[in-house]
Amino acid sequence: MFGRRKFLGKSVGLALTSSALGVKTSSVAAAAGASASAFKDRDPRGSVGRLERLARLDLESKMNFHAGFLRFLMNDMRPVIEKRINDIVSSDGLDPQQDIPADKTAELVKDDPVISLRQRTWLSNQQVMYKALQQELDENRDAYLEELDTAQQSGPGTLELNPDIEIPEYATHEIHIQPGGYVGSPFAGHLNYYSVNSFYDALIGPNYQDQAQVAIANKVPLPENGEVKRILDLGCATGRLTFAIADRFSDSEVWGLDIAAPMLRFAHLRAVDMGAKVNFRQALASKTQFPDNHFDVVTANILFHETSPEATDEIMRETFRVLRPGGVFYPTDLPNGKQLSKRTAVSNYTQWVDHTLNYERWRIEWEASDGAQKLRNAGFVVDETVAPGGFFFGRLLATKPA
Amino acid sequence: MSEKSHETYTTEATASGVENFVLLGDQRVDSMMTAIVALGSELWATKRRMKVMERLLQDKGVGFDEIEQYVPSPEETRQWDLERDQFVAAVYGHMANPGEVSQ
Repeated sequence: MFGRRKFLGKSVGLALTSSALGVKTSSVAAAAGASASAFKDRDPRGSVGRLERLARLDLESKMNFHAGFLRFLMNDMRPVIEKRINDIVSSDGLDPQQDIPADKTAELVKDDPVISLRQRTWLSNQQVMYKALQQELDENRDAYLEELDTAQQSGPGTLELNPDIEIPEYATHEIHIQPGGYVGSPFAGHLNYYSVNSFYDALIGPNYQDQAQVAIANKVPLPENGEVKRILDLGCATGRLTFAIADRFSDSEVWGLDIAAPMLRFAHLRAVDMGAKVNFRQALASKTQFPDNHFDVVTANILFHETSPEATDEIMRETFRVLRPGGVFYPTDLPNGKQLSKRTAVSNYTQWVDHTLNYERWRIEWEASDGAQKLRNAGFVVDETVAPGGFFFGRLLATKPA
Repeated sequence: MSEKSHETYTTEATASGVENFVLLGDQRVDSMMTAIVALGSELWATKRRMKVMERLLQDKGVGFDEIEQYVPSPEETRQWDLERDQFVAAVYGHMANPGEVSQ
C-alpha cells in the first residue's frame, strides 16, 4: 500500500447494503464495512494517485513504448494515410468527400504499401502490448487472483456478483481485440485498465489519474430540483467514471453496474485500494434489478457503441424505469443521428478499420442509428444542445418527464 | 493450477479472429513486422531502465568505468542467458504463428 487511502481517503458515498435495497445478493457479495485487513494488496511498486503502477519497471516501460508508438500511428501517420486514401479514391474516378462505402474504399486501398503497413503495425502494437500484460498476469496468476479474492471480502463499498447471470452474445466479443474480451479472462479488468491507459495517452494525453472521466463527471447535469441522492453508472467497466462521480457527489449513493464480473472485480479492487465507498453490481444494463424511480442521475460512458441495437433499446427503456421523474440520463458516446459528422471515404474507412481490426463490434450499428430518437422512443425528453462530455463525444441529455 | 483454488468468474468469449490476419500479403512479412514492433518495445524498456539506473548510480557515486569493467559471475551468466532466451522468445516468438496455408 502506498498511502492511496490517505491520498483519496475521504469517504465517498453513503453505504447501503443490497439487503437494505431489497435486492437479491449473490453468495459472493462483499459486505460493506468489512475489515480490509485481510486484503492482500499486490502492490510491489506503489501507486501514484489513482494509478497503481504496474508490477515491474520493464512492463511499465513497454506500455510506455506502446503508448508512444500508438501516438505516432494515430497522429503522425494519420494525415499521410488520409491523403493516400483520398488520392487512391480520386484516381478511381470517385469523389472522396462523398459518402463512399467503406468496403469500396477498403478494396481500393488494401494493397497500398503505406496504408497496409500502418494497419499491420497498429495491429502488431496491440498484440504485443496485450502479450506483455498477459505474461505478467499469467506468471503471477495465483497472486493476482488472491488479491482479487481478498478484495472481494473487503470494503468500504460493496461488490455484488451474480454467478447465475446469462451473458448475452453481444457482450462476449473481444472488443479492442483484448484477449478474452471483458468476460473470458479473469484479468479482463487488469488488461482493459492498463491497455486503455496507453490508448488514452496516445489519443488525448496522459489519463493516468482518470482525468478524462473526472472531466465528464464534472459535466454531469443535475436534475432540475438539484436533488441527487443516488447515481447509477451503467457499463462502468473498471470504474473510472464511477470513482470520479463518487468524488463529485460525495454525499450521494453511487453504483457502478456492468455485465462482466472480471471487470467489476478489478473495479472493486481499485475501490478497496483507494478506500472509495462505491457499490458495484454485476447485471445486464437492461435488467438492473433496481426498483422503479430509484435513481436521480444515470450515466453511461462509451457503452452504447459496444451493445447491439436491440440491447441499446432495452437499456434505454430500463434506464427510464429506474430514473425517478425529473431524473436525468447523461450518456456520453460517439456522435450519431444528426450529430454524426459528414460521411466521407476517410471517415467510413476509419470506422470500418475500427470495426474490423480493433473489433469494435457494434460501432457501425451505433453510428448508423439515432441515439436521440432512441431515447425519445424510451420516453425521455432529449436535449441535443448540451456540451459534449469530452473529446469526440456527442451531445445527449435525456430527462424523464416529472 | 489456479483453477482449483480461485474462482475466475469467466465465460466463453467470442474471438476477434485477428490473430491470423495477413495484411502485408505474406504471413512472413506480417510476422516480421510484429517482431519489429516487439523489438522496439523491448529496446525502449531497456533504454528506460538504463535511464533509471544511470540516474541512481550517479547519485550514489558509481562511475561509468566501473560498469564497463564489470565481469559477471557464473550464476549471473547463467541467469542472464536465461533472460536472453526469454528476450528472443518475446521478440521473435511471433514468427512461430502458424497462420493459414494458402491453397
